[in-house]
Amino acid sequence: MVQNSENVDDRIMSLLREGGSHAESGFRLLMEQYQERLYWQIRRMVFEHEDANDVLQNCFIKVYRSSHTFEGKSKLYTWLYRIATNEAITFLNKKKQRMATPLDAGESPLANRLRADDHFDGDEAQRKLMAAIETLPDKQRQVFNLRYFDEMNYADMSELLGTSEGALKASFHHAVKKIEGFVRSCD
Amino acid sequence: MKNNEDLRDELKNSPFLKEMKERPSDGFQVPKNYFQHLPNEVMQKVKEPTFAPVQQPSWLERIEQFMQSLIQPRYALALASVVVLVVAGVVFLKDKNATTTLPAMAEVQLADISDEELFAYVSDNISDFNRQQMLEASGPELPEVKVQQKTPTLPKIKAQKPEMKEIEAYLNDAIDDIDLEDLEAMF
Repeated sequence: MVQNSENVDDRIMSLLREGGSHAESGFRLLMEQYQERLYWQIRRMVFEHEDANDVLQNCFIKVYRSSHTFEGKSKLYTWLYRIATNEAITFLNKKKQRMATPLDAGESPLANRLRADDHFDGDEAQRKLMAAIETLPDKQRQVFNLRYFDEMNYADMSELLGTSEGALKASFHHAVKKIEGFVRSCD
Repeated sequence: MKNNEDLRDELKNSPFLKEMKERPSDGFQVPKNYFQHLPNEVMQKVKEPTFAPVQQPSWLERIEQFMQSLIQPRYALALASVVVLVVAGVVFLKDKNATTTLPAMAEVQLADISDEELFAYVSDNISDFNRQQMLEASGPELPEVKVQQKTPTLPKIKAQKPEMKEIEAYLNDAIDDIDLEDLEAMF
């Protein structure tokens, strides 16, 4: 059960600092508290469940190994989100290097993959939306996802991404225009 | 709620994204009970020896790690190359300095030697000096010495007395080559 309170973060950090079995309890609490939010952030960046699962598990392993480096200067979720997105971007870069030229040049390779994905039941329009999001640069994709899917306000987003609110608004506006243009070009 | 209204406003010129936002799902799904099982899966992985949490090393351990890193082949090679270059540089510069300052040092040291000592040294090692060195060392105040060059004398060859028969044979051979005019000129 997810609890919404900064007290939970304090409890998590306190347990992690105590070490031993307390640290394990703290880490379990951290995962229960944030796994879903982090999963959806990662899933909307890498699109496929298996990839999102790998990235999220790696992210948690990194968090466990480096929990002593968290100084509490930012919110716990901000720290976790940065680790998760860095892990997702690293994963995407490695995947890009592995991927050869798409076999079917007529349709987005992602749309093909989503059609075959057991964990995606969206229709053609939703596949098109994901293919359009995939064309955005990594940072702009993060901004778009946080605003469009999570409906996060710009002040929180600014704290999370370390970017000014004005720059984030402009980035979202350009992302929306790009996606509309992509969809029109597909019709 | 305000965020949601603001977002609708931001999407007013994007009919596709506005329509997609109205849908209850974006098409992504997760396997059944995925989030219930994930913490256990992660905990199993972090408990493996390779994922033990990293403790902050002490300053002594840091020094030890640094020293060990120097023994790594690539660092050791780099260090050895640097040491060789430094030693070569020092030797080269030392030689250069030695050659440039040697005459000055020699002059200083020679000034400390008394005349008696110099005469004694030259007398003992007279065979090591050639004439030119001695002339140069004598200075301009010494009277010019005329050196008589001996004319080289050819070694005396003991002539063998020829036999009469050989003289007659020689004259018979030579008589044909001598002109009459030459003979008259001889007498």
